[in-house]
Amino acid sequence: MVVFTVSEKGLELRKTVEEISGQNIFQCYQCGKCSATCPVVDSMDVAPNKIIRYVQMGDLEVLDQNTFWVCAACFTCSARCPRSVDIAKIMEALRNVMLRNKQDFINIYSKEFIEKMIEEIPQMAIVAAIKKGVW
Amino acid sequence: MDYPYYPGCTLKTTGKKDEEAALEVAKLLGFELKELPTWTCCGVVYNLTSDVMADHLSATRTLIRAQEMGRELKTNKLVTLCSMCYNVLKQVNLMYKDNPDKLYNVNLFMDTEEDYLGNIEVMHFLEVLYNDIGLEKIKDKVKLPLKNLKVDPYYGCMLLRPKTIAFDSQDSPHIMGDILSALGAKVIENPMTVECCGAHQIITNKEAVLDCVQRIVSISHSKGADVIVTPCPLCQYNLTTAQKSLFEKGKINQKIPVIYLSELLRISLSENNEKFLKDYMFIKDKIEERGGL
Repeated sequence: MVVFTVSEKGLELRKTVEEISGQNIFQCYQCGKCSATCPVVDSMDVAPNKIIRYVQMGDLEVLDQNTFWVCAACFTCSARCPRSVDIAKIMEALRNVMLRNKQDFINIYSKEFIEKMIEEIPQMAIVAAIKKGVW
Repeated sequence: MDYPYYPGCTLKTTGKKDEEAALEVAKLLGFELKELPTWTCCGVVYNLTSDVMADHLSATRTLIRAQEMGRELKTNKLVTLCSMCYNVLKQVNLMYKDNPDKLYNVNLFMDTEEDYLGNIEVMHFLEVLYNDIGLEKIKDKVKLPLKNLKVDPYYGCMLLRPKTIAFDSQDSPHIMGDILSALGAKVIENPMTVECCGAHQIITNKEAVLDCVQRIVSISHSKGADVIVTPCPLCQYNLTTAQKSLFEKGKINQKIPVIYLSELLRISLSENNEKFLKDYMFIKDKIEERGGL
């Protein structure tokens, strides 16, 4: 029999993600529909269903993946999940775990970011990126 | 009937064309969109966490402004043009309707504002056209029928997801197609119509946006669309600029113009459409080419 042991910190992460997202992480039965339907899955280190598996198992490696930063919050996964798990909220929770630990994803003072703002990018994209990537 | 109208940041800058056209289309159809006197950013993306209320405040203030203006105009409706503003305002509004305690709390917190009563109805311009004005009236007002123009209506994500705010079928929406058919256009069925364009990832992960757009436009192209029509300023931007990059990289061999639904409506409904056709001569050319005029 294989026994999984979950570290103290892993349990804490799982609890935090459940609290922030308001989702029951064990509702997911790993059918993979979210990953099949995700429009940006090609750019992700790990597919969305695997991210949820990491959280279920309390594996802290989940925080090293780029998946939840690549998520465009388009809600396709949430709309199509047969178990009604709001996956977009879980991605937001993982972003928040990082951001609330003072690990911003975007440096809004960087030359690269400011240059992009000067390009004709719509404000809505800039504000959305800031809201998803800066605490 | 006139409507209180919330523009949002992008419609005053990169999405100017959308606003100008929509305001005029409203007048042509016999109503007015009255801009809220003071409005703030809606927040752009709805905060998906369960424990942060502060992010909803700016949208709440806008709802209060709509409530104030609604008393003058005798309506409880608030109209938006931008898909993201629609999404955020409608979700925040719904949150208060579903959780009276949250509404109570926010009213306590914003004690300098009048209380928000939670009875504003947030609508997208498309909904106004479809439900309040009606296809028959639009059909009657057509000055330039877009006969034989092949259009691909592209919805994107924010108008239809999550389900609680969707004003049309989530997987096979028809409202935009119906409006375009009323103008006489030939509507193309693109299964990618509700696929995300990549949204704000244009800033942090351009490649992801390119992949999304390639999938969307390649089907549009294979079905022979003359033009892609969208109501969202970010979709319009992403689809246009990504097509440019894809073309330069040789990943697509033809670019399809992407214009706002309101612009196409204005071209079709206004008397002197020559002025508006100037930038989009291909529309007239295609209609003439296929014997439509």
